[in-house]
Parts: sequence; C-alpha cells; structure tokens
Amino acid sequence: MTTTVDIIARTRKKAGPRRSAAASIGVSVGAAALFLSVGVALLGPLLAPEDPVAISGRPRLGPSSEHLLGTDQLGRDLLSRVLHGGWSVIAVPTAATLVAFGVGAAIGVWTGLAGGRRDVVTSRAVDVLISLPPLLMAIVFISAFGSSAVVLVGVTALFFVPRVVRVVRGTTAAVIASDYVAASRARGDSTAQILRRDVVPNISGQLVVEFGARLSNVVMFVATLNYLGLGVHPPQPSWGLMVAENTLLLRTNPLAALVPAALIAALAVGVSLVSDRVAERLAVDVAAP
Amino acid sequence: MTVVLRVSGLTVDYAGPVRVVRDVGFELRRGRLLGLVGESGSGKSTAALAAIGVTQGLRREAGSSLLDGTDLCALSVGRVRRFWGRRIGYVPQEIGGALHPTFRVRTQFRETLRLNAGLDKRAADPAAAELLAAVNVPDSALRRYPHELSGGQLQRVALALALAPDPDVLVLDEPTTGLDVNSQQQVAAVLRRAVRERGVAALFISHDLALLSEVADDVAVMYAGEIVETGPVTAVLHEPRHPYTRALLNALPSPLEAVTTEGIPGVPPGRAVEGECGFASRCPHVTVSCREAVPALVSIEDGRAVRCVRHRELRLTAVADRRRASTEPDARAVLDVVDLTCAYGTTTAAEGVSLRVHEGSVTALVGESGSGKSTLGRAIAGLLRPVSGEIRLGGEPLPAEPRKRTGEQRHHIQLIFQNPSTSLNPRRTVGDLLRHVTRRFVAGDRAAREAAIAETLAAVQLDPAVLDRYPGQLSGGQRQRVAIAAAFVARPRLVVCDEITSGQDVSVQAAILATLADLRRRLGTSVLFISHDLGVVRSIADHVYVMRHGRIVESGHTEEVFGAPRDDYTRSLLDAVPAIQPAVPSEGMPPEAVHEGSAS
Amino acid sequence: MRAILTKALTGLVTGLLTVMLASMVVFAAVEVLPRDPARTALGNESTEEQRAAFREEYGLNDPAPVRYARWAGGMLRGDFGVSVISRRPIADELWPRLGRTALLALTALLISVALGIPLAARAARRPGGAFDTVANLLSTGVSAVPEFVVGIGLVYVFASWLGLLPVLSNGVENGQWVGLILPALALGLAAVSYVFRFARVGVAETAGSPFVRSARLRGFSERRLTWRHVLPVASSAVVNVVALNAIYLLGGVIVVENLFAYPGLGTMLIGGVRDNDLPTIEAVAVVTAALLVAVNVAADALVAVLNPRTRQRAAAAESHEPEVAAP
Repeated sequence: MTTTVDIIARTRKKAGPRRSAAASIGVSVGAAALFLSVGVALLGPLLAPEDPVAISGRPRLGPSSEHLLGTDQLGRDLLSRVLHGGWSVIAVPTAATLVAFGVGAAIGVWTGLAGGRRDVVTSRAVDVLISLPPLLMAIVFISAFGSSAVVLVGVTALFFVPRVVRVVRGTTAAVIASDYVAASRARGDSTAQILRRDVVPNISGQLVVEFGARLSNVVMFVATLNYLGLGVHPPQPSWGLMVAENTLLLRTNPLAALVPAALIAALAVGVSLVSDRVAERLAVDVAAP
Repeated sequence: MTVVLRVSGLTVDYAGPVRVVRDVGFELRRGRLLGLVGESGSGKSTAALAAIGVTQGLRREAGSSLLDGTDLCALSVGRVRRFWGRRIGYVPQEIGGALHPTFRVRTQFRETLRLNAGLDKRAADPAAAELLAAVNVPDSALRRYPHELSGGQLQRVALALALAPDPDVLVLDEPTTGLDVNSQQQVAAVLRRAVRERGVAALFISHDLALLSEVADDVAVMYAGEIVETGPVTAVLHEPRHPYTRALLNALPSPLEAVTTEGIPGVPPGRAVEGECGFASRCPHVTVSCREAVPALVSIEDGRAVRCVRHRELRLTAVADRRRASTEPDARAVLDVVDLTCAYGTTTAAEGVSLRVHEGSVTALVGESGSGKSTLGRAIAGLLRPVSGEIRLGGEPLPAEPRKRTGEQRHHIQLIFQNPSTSLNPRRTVGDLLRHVTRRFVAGDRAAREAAIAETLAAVQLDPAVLDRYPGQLSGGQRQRVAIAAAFVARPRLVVCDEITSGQDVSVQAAILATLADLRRRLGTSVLFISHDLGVVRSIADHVYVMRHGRIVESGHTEEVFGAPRDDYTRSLLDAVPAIQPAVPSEGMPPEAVHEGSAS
Repeated sequence: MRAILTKALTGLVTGLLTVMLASMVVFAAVEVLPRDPARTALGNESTEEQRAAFREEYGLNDPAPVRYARWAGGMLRGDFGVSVISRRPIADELWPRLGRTALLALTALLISVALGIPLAARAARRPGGAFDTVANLLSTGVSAVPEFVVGIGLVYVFASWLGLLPVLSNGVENGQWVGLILPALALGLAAVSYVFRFARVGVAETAGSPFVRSARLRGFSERRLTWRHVLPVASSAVVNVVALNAIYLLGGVIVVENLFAYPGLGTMLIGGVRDNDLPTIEAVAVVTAALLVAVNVAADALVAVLNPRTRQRAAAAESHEPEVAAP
C-alpha cells in the first residue's frame, strides 16, 4: 500500500532531490579535476618548453626560472616530462575500456537473453575468471609479451571483460524475467524485437553507469602498471612512471613525484565523481514509481 | 467504558504547505477495538503513528493525544520513548517486520520483558510461553528463528510480543496484509480475544471494511487526511451517513451475495484539501455549500459523528439493490482445457486440470497462493509449456510448444498481469505500446489502427493524452487500465486476467471491474478471471472453478458453488473470508452482529 | 551444521580450482615468452653450446604439458624451483616473504573494517548531514585514487615532511616492524573507502527496515538499536561485500610493497620481472594468487557463520512451501 508520504514524495519528484550544497560542490570539483588533468594530458605536448627525453640541465635541480619544476635524476626538464606524460594514461584506458565494454556487453546480453544452460555455463566461467587477481595476472602477461600499447590494451581489456559481462548479464536477465517481456513473448514478438524494444532501453542507463565505473577502475589500473614500470618504456615519460622514478627525490624536490601523482589523482577522481553524478541523474530519471 | 487514549484536533504537515492529516480525533477505550479505515493516501497510518508520538520526519501542527493526562505529541522523543513498549504496543504491517531476523523468538521476548517489565530470564520464559499460548502458537516457536515460521505465525508472535509488557494501548498497522485468508482469520480471532481478555485499548488500521466488520467494535473512516465518519461498526456499515462511506460500500463486492460494484470517479487528493469538503470533487451529491468551507465533524445520535453538511438530507437507505442479474451461458466453448499438467522444474504446479470457458462468459479460477492457478493461466496464455494435456481454442487444439502458436491463435488469447508497474515497459510510452499491439493484431491501414486505439481508450475511460505518457507518470489504476486496453484493442476472443485487481484500493478495484464488464459486454469477449478474492469472483463470474494444490476441487455456476458448496475446502474458504453481514431488517438491532464461522 | 560444511567445502574446492587455473594461466603466459631464458641468464656473450647446455640442465627442451606437470608437482611438494639469477632455491625466499605479505594484507583488511564500519554507522545516523556528505565525498575520492598515489602522499607527509616514519620498509626484514605502518595504512585507506560506502548503504537500509522501527516502538534506546539491532545485521552484508572483493582490494598489495620496498611477495615478483627470472615470476605469481584466494574463502566462510539465515537456507529450502503469489 502506498502511504500518503509516498504519494506526496512522488509528486514532488519534479522539484528535484534535496541535494546539499556540499554534494554539488563535489561534482563541480570532480568536473574541474577531470577538465584539468585531461587538458594537461592532451594539450601538454604542445606547451612543453623542452624535449622530455633530452638532458637539458644539471641533474636534481630545484624549481628555477629555466626549469619551472626543476630537473630529475638525469637532468631532464620535469615540466616537459609532466606535460608529455599524460597521454598514455588517457589513451590506453579509454581504448581498453571501450574494448572491454564492447566485448563484455555483447557477451552479457547474449547470455542474459539466452538463459538456460548457456547462461549457467557462462556465469560459472565468468565467476572463475573474476576470481583471478587482475593486477597479478597483468604483470605476468606483460612480462611475457612486452608492454606495447596493443598488449596493454589487450591485457587490461581481458581482465575487465568478465566484470562487465557479470553486470550486463545481471541487468539483462532481470529485464528478461520481467512481466513486460513475458507479455511481448506471449504476443509473438521475435527475439530481435524484444531486444530492441524491451531490453536495450531498459539496460542502457545501467550500461552508462557501468562504463563510468569501469573507466575509473581502468585508469587506476593502467596508472599502476605504469608505476611498476610495465607500461610506457623509459625514457618516454608517463605520470605513473615519474612517480616511481622520482620517489628518491622526495626530500630535495618533492614536486617531482607529487605533481604527477596529483595529476593521476585528479584524473581518476574526476572520472569517478563525474560518472557518479551521471549515475545519479539517470537513476532519478529511470526511478520506478 | 474508560477512555485510555484521547486524540483531538491532530494536524500533521509535510514540509510546508502540504497537510497530510487534519483535525483528527478519536478515543480508544479499554477492551474495545477501533478500526481506522481508508484507502491509499487517506492519512490513516500517519494519523495513528502521530497519535502515539511517532513523527516520521513530519511536523505536528496542532492537536494532542492524551494518555492518562499526558500529551504524547508534546513530548520529546526521549520522553515519549518511555511510553513505547511499556504502555503502547505496536504491530507493523510487514509480515515478520516486528522481529529481528537473526535472534531467536525467545531472545526477543526476553529482551522486551526485561527492559519493559523488569522480568529476568527465569520469569520471562514462562511468560513468553503463556503469551504464545494465548495467540495459538506452539511453544516450540520460542526456539526458532523468524525465517522458520509461517506468515500467520509471525504476525501472531508479533502480537504476543507487543502485548508482552501488558500495555494500555495497542496499535496494529494493517497486520494481516499479505496473509492468506485462513491465517488472516486466525490472527483476527486471537486479536479479538486478547483485546477483550486483557482490556487493552486497540487501534486497527486497515483498508478492508469487511475485515473490520468482524474485528472492530467501532470504526472511523478517513478520507483526504480527515475523519469523515465515526461510530459503532455495524451502525456505520449498515447505515452510512457520509457519501464517501456509502460510495466505499457500493464499491465493495461480497462473498455472501452476487452484487455489482461501482467505482468512484476521479482520484483521491492524497492530502487534506483547503477551503472545501475534501470529497467534493468526487461526490455525487455535491452542492455549492459543500465548496464554501471545510465541514465540521458533527455529533449525531448513538456515539456517531459525520463530516458532511448534507447528512440530514441524505439519509437514504444504506446501499441500493446491487444484486447482479444472472446471465444465461452460451453453450459453445471458446476455451477447453483437457487434463492439463504443468510444472516448474521438478515441482508440479497443476495436475490433470480440465476446464471450459463458454463463449461470452466470465469464468473464474479461484484458489489461494500456491494453488497453481497462475501457472495454469500462463500455460493457457502461451508462456509455459505444459507437461501433458491439451488446450483447445474454439475447438481447435493449440500446439503443445507455445512458440509454435500461430499469429491468429496468439491474437485471440490475451493476458493481463497482476501488477501493472511491472507488466508495462517503463521506457515506452502508452502510445508506443498500443501501436505496437495494433500493428500486429489489427487489420487495415494506419488510420484503422489509430481508430481502434482511440475507441479502446474511450472504452477504458482514459484520456487520449495518456498516449504520450510513460507508465511511471500514471497512477496504479490508470496503468491497469492501459494494460486492459492493450489486451482488448486486439479484439481477442478470450482474455485471461491474472489477479488484476489484487493490491488495488477498493474503489480502484471496482473501477477496473466495471471497465472489464463494460468492455466485455460491448465486444462479447470471454474472460478467464483468476483470483483469490471470493467477493470479486462472486460479483463478476458466471462460472467458477476452485483450485487447490494444483487440482480442481469444485466447479459449477457461481451461485450454486457459493450458495451450496459441496467440497470441504470450498466451504472452509467461504467460512474464513471476512464479509459484512447483511443488515437484519428489524427494529431491535442485536448488540453484536453475528460472526459467521469464527474460530475462537 | 551440514549446510555450513557443504558451503565451506564448495568454497574450498572453488578456491583450489581457481588457484589451479591461475597457475595454468601463468605458466602458459610465461611459456610463450619470446625471449630466450638461456641468453638472459648467461648474457649476450655466451655461446650457443653454453646456452644449449643451460637449456638441457633446466629441462627447457621438454614439451609444455610435461614441464607444467613437473612444475606443478614440484610446487605441491614445496619445491618452487631455482632462481635463474641467484641460483638458489626459490622456496627459501618465498616462505618468509609470504608471511610478511599475509601480515600486511590482513592488517590492511583489519584497518579497513575497524575504521569503515563505525564511520559508516556514524554517517548513517544522520543521512545527508554534514558528517555524512563529507565522509561520502572523501571516500569516493580516496577510492578512486590508485594505491601508490595514496602511498606517495603518506610517505611525503609522514616520512619526508614530518620525519616520523621511515620512507622505506626494508627494515622489516630485521624486525623493524615500524616499517609495517605506512604500507598497511596505504593499502588500508584504499580499502576503507570501499568498506565505508557499502557499510553506509547497508546500515542505512537496515536502519530503515521494519524490524528496527518495531524495536524502536518497543522503547529501546537508540544506542541499543544501533549496536544490538542494526549493526549485526548490516555487518554481515558488509562482510559479504568485502569477501567478494577481497581479491580485488588486495591486488594493491603488490604496488604498495614496491613503493615502500617492503620485503614481501610483491617486491619479489617485480624484482623477478625486472631480472627476467622466469621461475621466480611463476612461483611468486601462483603463491600470491593462492594467498588472495585463501583470504577470499576465509571471508566467505565467515559470512556463512555470521548469518544464521545462510546457515539454514539449504535446510529450510525443502521444508517451506512457496509463500506469496503463485508462479
């Protein structure tokens, strides 16, 4: 039985949920962080004063007018390295997430639609694959196959596909089990029609949310691989690798390690906060009465 | 009889100008049970909870609730907490909702007896056993966890738990919702006995007038946040003075006789209405004076009160003659089910079922939860492959594998589900759905299809504007009417209705039934009506089949089966269903109405 | 009782299968290595004969399934092979490091639960309030940040700036347990935000359930409600989530160890990768996977014990009749 409060709450939904100012600030901060880090990553190479792999000064210098962030162990300009180092942590994760999503969503819908034995087998397989520790496996694979961009994208996608499959399968299965799909089937709608009319519109919101969440995970994952030296090859710069390289400079020139670390944080947090907000937005729209 | 709790002028607001409850007053007397009845949005739960000091984030604007001279509403949470449990008991609506899921029953009794009655473990255990005995629950339940008890047992344990500290007041919030008819009867019986024997003053919130007629001594009817009528239960139900009460009674079907039901046009406001009578927009007797001001609750004779400026003029007889004319069945069969067996995995849901739906008739399939009636309905509608047996449409056998049914066959059997919130695709508009259905099943060009849609919408009394709306933007009643429209727009020969009125308010239910009856009459469609509600079935069905544990136990013309049931199970079902007894046409009204077949 | 045992057994079997699968995956990946281990070990100046002898000595010429069986069999007997670089048995290094990594992982898990749940309870007390909003924002932020970034931040603050704790933790080998603090904290903070978010939802949902409302209307104090009624029920939901994600959360242990030079399996693994020391890579990968899976299985078992409903579910399934609307 709906209570009076439910009915009132329902009619008030148009006015929007009561978002506290702090929560809105959170989203703005996230968007700003995302904008900043992506901006630096994409536009940085155009603005860098020096060649990031060339030695342009004496090693271990602090910030100066010539080298705004100082120089690293080998004497390379840190600012230029930072400006060039973001590309890999944007390109690879985006590509990997798209691949993982494409493959994972396809498998998820396919198996959710089928149900029955096909579903059970796929679900078991997914359960087992998910229980393999992703970072560990990625390390092994990369040490075996090298760390070219293709391998990175491939390995990352490989270990995130099962997660995507699980979520998409779950949502699809829930839709398939609903009464309105039963009604469509009773009417004689073909599988293609059910897919188009009933399944896709009702899972798309969830898919978008899932994409955002995965992208956030994958950014962290790739940055971590870079940190461990398993991503971009030295002497090419990448933010993750720079954190590792410059840890020893922490006492003398903390910026060397902290700036790239902060940029990674900004990117990851930005993606996460913005996708959370999108999720909320969609949930409000899709809310059941 | 002593007044234990005196509520007056209670007014509760929700965030500013929305008034949820206005000027509510009632008295709870020792050993008597007051039924607070209303449909969704009437404010009954809010009023009852506010009366015992529960605010739920709402704001008490005015009024008081006096228990022994103390105004519960004026106390802080810390202070009123001392009354809860000790002097006020509460039984919630959700089955098992009173019990902590991971504690044994015995632990929960010990907890409340220790903190509220000062009993230690040794004294608490026998007290708990005695309480359980009073509600007909065996001792062994003490050792169990909640998930090991049945629904009926859970609610009776909840009652015992609330009564354990021997409170003065007992509030029950629709405690029998979701229970099957027999469990409901058991709960009602133990409740009545407990109230009398312990002298507790009870408040029973419900939407079920028939149930209240058997359980309550007095009744208060709520609408749009206000009490519109109060008085002893038999008097109010036999001679209602407020138009809403009368309309509610007109909408109520009865298992005791075949009556037609009538819905109430419009929708309830869901909050108190300013400046005029809350029911004015839907009242058949409305005049100018009704819209001038909010009517006051006026006392009339015999402890009754009514809130209507025209109550004196409107002293008509309780209900018009609603007896339903019986129809002559057509000999031809539109649907024949022959020796059908259906299963879900390894469980057999229906076994060896045979039934026939005559052309143009309404045939009901009645049974409780788990009887297999829904499974049967799904098999007929082509959602389930039967294990064995045959289904014939118009004499022609349907293929065993539902996927092999032809378009023509699918056309002529349509299914309407119970819950329109889940049976309509939330991401497609009503228009999209209807056009999709007509494209498949209605011959002719686009104009012909649009005409069919328009005609059907009119027949279900939905505004054409609804075509652009999403299901989420419609009320429950409107959604069900969309589902009905989607089934009928194809002009099928048979419509299978699976519990389409369950979970709806009485007035909405009546409207749905009226719509169904109207469509059927116009189009000559046959209906297989699946339901657990005997009153509804008696009010619309020509034939009835009674199902139990997957088998048909009795069948025949509705009046024959209900009037003179042959099977014991049918008889027990009829006995257990609550019903408002028809008025005894004599001057001396018996002080207590006769309760049919009540256990004690 | 039988239900718990069956569940525990299934969990154990699944865990073992997972480890076996992991070992096969690891072995297969390493097998396909284009680089020549002989050349790597002996250097570029080595002759072909020397390399051939090396391959013969290490049995690198046998077919893959044979080598897998030999390797897996060896591990089950405790023989993890010999490091190509150091020429010493891997097992010598492995056991002490396994112990230290397990210690780090469990400490981090404990920190996350000990902090996460009370914080969640406090936040859920007043949903939408100041504490709740701030905590939610912080946890979303921290959980999005990679562990090494959290780690470097901690190092900077506590080691570099405040000078309170050592930057590197390799002193742990010699019993300087203070080196455990920062790595455990880094790993734990990442996990805390995760635990907090799920606990907060769990607590909020539980607090809104009918049985809590009924208990409140029995006059029990808010404190009693929180600790005796809400948290026990919410906690089992939380433990459930943590159990499901233990492997994912603790994958970060590798990174954290490397950041702090903590002498555990993570540093051994990366060291092996840097040196192209195949046997080490294989052995450490499998043992690390086994450790993570073990934590997961233990957590699953804990969930089953905590919640009597899961305990009884198998038994109850037969005796109960279907409840609500008939299918």
